[in-house]
Amino acid sequence: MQVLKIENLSHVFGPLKVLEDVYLDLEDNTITAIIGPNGSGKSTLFNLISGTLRPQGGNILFNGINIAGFKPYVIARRGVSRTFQDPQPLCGMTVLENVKTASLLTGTASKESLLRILVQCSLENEADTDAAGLSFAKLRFLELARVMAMKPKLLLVDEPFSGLNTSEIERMSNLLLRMRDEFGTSTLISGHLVGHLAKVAKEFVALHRGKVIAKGSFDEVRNNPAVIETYLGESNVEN
Amino acid sequence: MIIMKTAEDIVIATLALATMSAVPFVSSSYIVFLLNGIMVLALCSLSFNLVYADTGYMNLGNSVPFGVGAYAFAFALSHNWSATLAVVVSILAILFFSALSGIFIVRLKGAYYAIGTLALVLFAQALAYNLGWLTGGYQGIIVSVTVGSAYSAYYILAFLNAVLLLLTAAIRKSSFGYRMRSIKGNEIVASTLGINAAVNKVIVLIIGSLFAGIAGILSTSYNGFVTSESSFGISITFLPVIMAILLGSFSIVAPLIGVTIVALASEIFVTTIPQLTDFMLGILLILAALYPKNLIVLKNSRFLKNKSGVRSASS
Repeated sequence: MQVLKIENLSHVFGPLKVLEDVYLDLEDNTITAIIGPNGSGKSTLFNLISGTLRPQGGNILFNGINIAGFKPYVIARRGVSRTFQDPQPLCGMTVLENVKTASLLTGTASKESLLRILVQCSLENEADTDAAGLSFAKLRFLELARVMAMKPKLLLVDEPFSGLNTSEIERMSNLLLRMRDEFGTSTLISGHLVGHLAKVAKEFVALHRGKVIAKGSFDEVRNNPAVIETYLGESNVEN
Repeated sequence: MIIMKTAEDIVIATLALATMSAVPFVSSSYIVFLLNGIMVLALCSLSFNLVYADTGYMNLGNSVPFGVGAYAFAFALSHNWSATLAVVVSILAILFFSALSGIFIVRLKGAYYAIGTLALVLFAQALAYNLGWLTGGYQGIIVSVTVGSAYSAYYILAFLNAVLLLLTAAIRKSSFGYRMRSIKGNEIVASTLGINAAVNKVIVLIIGSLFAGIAGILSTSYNGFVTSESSFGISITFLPVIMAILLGSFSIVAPLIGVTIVALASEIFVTTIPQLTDFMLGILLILAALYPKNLIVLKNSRFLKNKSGVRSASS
């Protein structure tokens, strides 16, 4: 079953076409990587799906319902969660309170279940510290801890690996796989570290200048001439 | 939370309650009058803080519901309605106008919200001057009161202040409190967590306005008059704000300490340099805004320390 179907999605900022006729299908229970150079429209796509930006044209079908133009909180309540490329903590609230606020969406979560999420994200020692004072890597995991508390059907993770070391990336990857298996979460993950993305994502989508230039398995996308030319250049993929 | 957490808190609360209850028996009606004025400001200050401390939105228009309550009650009494009916009508008017203004200003953010709410005060003031048949114009409305009214107002005010304090503590622990604090923490993130910021902002504004409005009703009930100046003037519009932000929002009782400091300062200014009272209070406001942390002499004392781990931006 398709959890997300995007049709003809376009968006312009003034004269700049950020997204042009983007189409995308996301299967249930899968992790899909979305790659592309900086400025290719990945974050804009996430902003449009999550409602933090209003689409100017096109359809975003989530479980068959067109959510394009819905308010962010309505989209979140329907089961779409997202993280931000620049970590955005709820300042003035502790780490535990950040996660608790997110858990309000699915009703009252027990303190134990919230603490378990913190342990999974290695945040248990920071539970009572102000979220604004966390280190960068910890903030990345806080972003994930919040969406874990929401048990989303569709998760948009915007460059979750950037700024993390290899072991942290592995931990983050495992958490994404676990969410897929435990909650049936379908994930759209963006990033540049294609080697790491290939370990979690079944499907790859390549964006360039707001257009989908390739999609398919990792090997299909990495061998696609358009991708090699625009995104990977002449060097080979790290792996 | 400082309230009812430890035996120490309960002892302090009981002592405070006993002292408050005893005051009218052992002092003159002048003192009761003075304390009424302070408690009216305290109620406004706590209601300002209810919105400000948790959502971070500075509602400078708290005197609008105050004035609506004060005028509606005076209007009803001057038309010989029964006191009960007058109270009910006043509360309905407060709820109606606070919901209406809440819906209008909910789209404003940051400083624009503060300016927008302040504009509502000027609007209300203009209406009060111009709708003579309703408000009595420049002269306002005079209603007859007895000495007994000041005493009943005293107890009701003390009770409502306690209620609002407990309500603030209860809200902070509730999921509603979490939603409001997430709005202060990061409104965009809050919306992606499924939180309807607009609705929460309007609801908390209505709750805050209700208490400010009841303070208005009570002030008419013992003062015996209402004018545009007594409702929308500097003292009701700005004093509660200074009181609330003077010590920062490190604890929910901070506004009450602020109230005590500002009320005392204001008494001293009025008796020593009456012409400069507003000027001096303005200086106090500027200092509170510039040096929030330095003014908190009491901040680190054990008594005032935040026991629940709830933090605020200014602490």
